[in-house]
Parts: sequence; C-alpha cells; structure tokens
Amino acid sequence: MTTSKGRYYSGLQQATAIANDSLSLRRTCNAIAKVIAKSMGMTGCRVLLLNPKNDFLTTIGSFGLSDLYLRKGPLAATKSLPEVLEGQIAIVSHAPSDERVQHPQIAESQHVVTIIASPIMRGQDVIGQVRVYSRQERSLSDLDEEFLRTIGHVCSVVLERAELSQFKERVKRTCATAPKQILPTEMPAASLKPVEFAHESEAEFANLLDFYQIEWLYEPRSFPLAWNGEGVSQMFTPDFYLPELDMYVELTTMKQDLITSKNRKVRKLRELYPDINVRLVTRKDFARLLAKYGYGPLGDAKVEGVGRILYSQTQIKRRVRSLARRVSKDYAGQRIVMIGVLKGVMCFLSDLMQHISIPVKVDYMDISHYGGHGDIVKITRDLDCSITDEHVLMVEDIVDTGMTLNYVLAHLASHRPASLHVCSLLDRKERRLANVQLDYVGFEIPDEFVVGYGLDYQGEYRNLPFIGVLRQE
Amino acid sequence: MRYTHETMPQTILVSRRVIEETVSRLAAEIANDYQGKNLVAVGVLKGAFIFMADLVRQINMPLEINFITVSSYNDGTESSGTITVHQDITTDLKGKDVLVIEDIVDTGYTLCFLLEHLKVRGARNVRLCALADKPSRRTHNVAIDYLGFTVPDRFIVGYGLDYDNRFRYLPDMYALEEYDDNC
Repeated sequence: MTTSKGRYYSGLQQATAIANDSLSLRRTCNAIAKVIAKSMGMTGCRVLLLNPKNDFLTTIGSFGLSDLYLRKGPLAATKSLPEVLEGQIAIVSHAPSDERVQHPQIAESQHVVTIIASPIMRGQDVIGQVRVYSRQERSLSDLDEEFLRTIGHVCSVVLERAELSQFKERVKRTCATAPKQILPTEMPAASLKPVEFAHESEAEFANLLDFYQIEWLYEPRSFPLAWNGEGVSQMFTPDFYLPELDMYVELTTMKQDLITSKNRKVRKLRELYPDINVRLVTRKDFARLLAKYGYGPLGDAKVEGVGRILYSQTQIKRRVRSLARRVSKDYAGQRIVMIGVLKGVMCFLSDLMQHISIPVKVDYMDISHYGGHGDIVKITRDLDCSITDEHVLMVEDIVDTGMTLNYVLAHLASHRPASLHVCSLLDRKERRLANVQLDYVGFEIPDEFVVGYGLDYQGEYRNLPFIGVLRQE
Repeated sequence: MRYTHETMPQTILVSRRVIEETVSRLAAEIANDYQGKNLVAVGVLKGAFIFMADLVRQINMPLEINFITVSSYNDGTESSGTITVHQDITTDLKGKDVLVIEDIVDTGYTLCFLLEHLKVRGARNVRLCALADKPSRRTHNVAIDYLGFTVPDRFIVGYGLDYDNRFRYLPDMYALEEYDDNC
C-alpha cells in the first residue's frame, strides 16, 4: 500500500516534470490540477490566477469539475475564502452552508462537501490559488498543507515562465511594429449571467461542445482589425473560445456572400495575430457534424445513394496491408493492444489486425452519440482488459473534428498505458477542431460525406465493401 | 490441464482459404433468403467481430449492423449461471428480421438466452448464423440456420476466437495443443 507521503512524493515528481514540459499554460495547469486531485484523493481541482487590479480569480487550469463550476465566472477573492489572500490555507468542511462560498447552490448541485484553498505565492505576494474539491468530508493534515504549499511553488514557477514567454513575444511584436495587442490578462472575464446566444445555431454548437465536455466561452474577446488614427475602426469577435483547445471558432451559417466577408476578416485576424488559432465552421460543416450523429438530415440536401467510389476494395486492401506492415515493424518485439470504437471501425480493425505479425490483443469501446441539448458523452461499452503498462494502438475509421477521438484518448491515457498511438484509415484534415496527433493514416480525404467499409449514414451503407461518396441532390 | 499460450499455435484446423469460401457461401445464402426484407445483423462480441465484418461485406443488400455483448457468470461450467447483456442493441427491432452472427456454437446456453432476448424485443423473426459448430459440447438445443462447418471438441483460436484474449488476430483457425502440468 502506498502511504500518503509516497503519493505526495510521486505527485510532486509528476508536477515538476509537467512544469518543465513545454506545454501551453492551459495544458500545463490542467495537468498539474489533475496531479493534485489524484495525489490528494480529491474529486476535482483548479488553479486560479489572481488579477491584482480587481482581486478577481480566473481559472487557468482544472480537472474533474463540471462545466457549471468552470462557467460560473470569475470569483471575487475578497469574498470567496478571503483568508487565502493573507497567505493562509482555508478549508470549508460543508460547502453548501458555508457563507464564505460564493456559489453555494452550485456546490450543492455538484455534491461538493469539502473545499480546500491554498495560496500560490511569489515572495510575500499571493498571485493565485489552488483549490481542491471533494464529495466527502475531510480534514487537513500537516502533510496535506505541506504538499499544497509545495505544489503552490511549482505553480508559481509555471506562471512566471508563462509571463516571461509572453513578454518575449510582446517585445518581438513591438519590434516588428505590429498593432497593439490585447494581452490575455486583460481578457474580458466570462459573464456571470447565463449566456444569451445571438443565433440558434450557436446554441446548438454550444450543446454539441457540452456533449463532448469541451469547455467554451461565448464571445469572450474582440480583436481590433483596423485602426483609424487613435481609434479602432474594425473589430472582430469570434463566437466561441475553447480554452482547452486554445482555439477560437466562428460559425457562419448564413448566406454565401456573408461568408466571403467573414473569410476576409478571419484571414486578417490570422495575419495580425499569428499566434491566435481561429477556425471557421460553415453551415455545411455544421450540418455534417450533426448528421454524423444521426441528428438532423445532411444539411438541406437529399441523399440519393452512393454517387461514386472513392476507394475500391483493392485500394483499401493494399493500404491496410502497408499500414499493418508499418505497425508490425514499429512495434517489433513487443505486443500491442488495439482498441476500436464501434461500429464504424469494424471492417478496418478486423482487416488490420489480421495482417499484423506481432502478438495483438483487441478490445472494443462504444460511446453514446449526441442526442441534443443537455446530453453528455458517455462510454456505453468500456474496455474488458486492463491497458495499464501496455502499448496501445487506438484504431479509428475516420477522424474529422477529432472531438470523439480527443475524448477517448483522454479516457485511455488515464489508465496509464506504456504508450498510446493512433491509426486512422481516413483523415479529413479540413474539418479538424481538436488537435489530435495521428501516427498512422491510410488516406487523407477531401471534405465529402463518405460511407461504406464500416462507415454509415444514419445506420445505412456500412456493409459496402468499398468507400463511396454520398450523392446529394 | 492448461493450454500452451506462450508460443504460437501450430496445428491449422481450418485454413484461410476454407474460411473465405465458407463466408462467401453463407453470404450468398443469406442474401438470397432476405432479399427485400429489413435485415438487422447482430454480431456477438468479441468472438464474432472478424466473421461479422467479413460476412456482411459480402451480403449484397442493404442491412443494419449491431453488436451485442453477453456474458455468463458461473461456477466454471458454461451451461448454468446468470447471463447478462452488457451492451444491448439500440435499434428498434419491431417487425424486423434479425440475424444473430456468432463465431462458434458450444453448449448453446448463452445463445438460447440471446435468441429469446431478441424475440422478446419484437423482432419479426430471429435466425442464427454460426461460423463453426461444436456439437459434442451441446447442452441446450439451438437451431443453426446458417452454418459454416462443424469442428471437433478441441480448443480453437484464431479468426476472432481467443484463448485468454490472445490469438484473435490470426487469419486462420488453429487447434491449441493441450499439455499436462505434470509433464
């Protein structure tokens, strides 16, 4: 049995390794939050940054907390557990009834009982907080305090490094006489009010993000695009910001002529702010995304069967064999566990595994499909066997937005496999939202709706032996 | 008694060529019988995965695909105990023709339960297609409507069939060697 001291030691070891990894600030803080929660045996954790101007706390990393918690907006540090501002560790042992808790109703709905908050110090100043949440009552030992203080130092170093790189960026940009930049610290805080969407499709998109448990903010930031003397003459406010993916998304579900003007704005934004990641999601993209989950028809178009063959049986066979050879070579001398998400992958996984020349174990997962507002993705069939310390190859039929894969990979990674790689038969790069890395790809395909070889449109066409493109009227 | 599993199995029982021919024959029979009907193919995980993928691709008509996971908890014998459906099919079966696709029919106990389970869900009719039959082990009477071949009472692996989750990926079917711990 591991002692809590042992757990804390390995927690700190992991946290320092993460801090030294060159991930984005958001990813680093998410990973550290996870380590903290796991080491302390708590339900969730978040890392908060204190804004010295207005004493508000903003979440910069979190683990295990629901959207409700993350989207309740910035916390007033002077009201929510104010003793932490003085450098003390605070503990709330019954959150729903404690008046120091700013949103007790949320704590209650999420069954949060204990909240522990610990300061992140830089010298004598408090610059942020680490908060851990538990659904059980728990006390605070000296060892717990020591761990929280130490992890606070790690966070402080992480923040300092992020500031330094931001400063370097700023200097670089000023030298290049770029327009003035809004710094992330000046980003408008998320609204406390429930979001009101300007357009129905935005609400639908938000539902879809909720389904994949992807954190989002609605119109959190405006980018000046043109200047007129002292003032800004043109602004652009993307619809969504997805903090985990560090990506802005602009939906265009309107007429073609409006898309052209939006395209121009997006292009300009990319030119002026090269480090900002922005994606345009068109009406067609969006309809296809929903149609894929059997939700709504394929845009306005009527499906008229298969229009043409994209890859013949022979072409697929040849490609699958060559992928199998590469996998066998790369994993030579080891054994692997291949995992597929039903049902789309049935043909590919079945053919691929039979051409592999090293020992293979196979396991299947199934996940629920988007069913509309309020739905959250669920694993309906989980793995039968443990994958801890195994070499795992995730096998996919097609990767387009990457949202499903992103979710499944996070789930698999939590079992701590020895390695985790992805092999996908088809890659529709144009539609990618989540940044997932594909190690083996069969074919890169254009932005068309494909069926056959396991892939379906509303349950049909899976048993076609080739890959075809749907004919639409 | 244990089975060797550190080394690869040696004795091919059914070769790839025979498997392919059998799958083609079954697919043609099925397509002929179900033409114009609403066919729902239900593959039993994990063993029937490869058989299912190969079979449905040769059935030249529209059909719907589902997988189901069933397991029986028991005291070592396979002909008793509680059967649980782990991952049920989500499709509405009312008025549809269901074809259960199974790798191998052994005692028939789990299959009896499964066929009944699907009938109760309102299927118009439920039939069974099995790649292999091991009649020597039968304890419960099951009618196999489409059968690939009959196999002797040996432990069989490959083409989806496993021993302790190993050997599923082998393209041929093998009989595992038995050996005695005392040797």
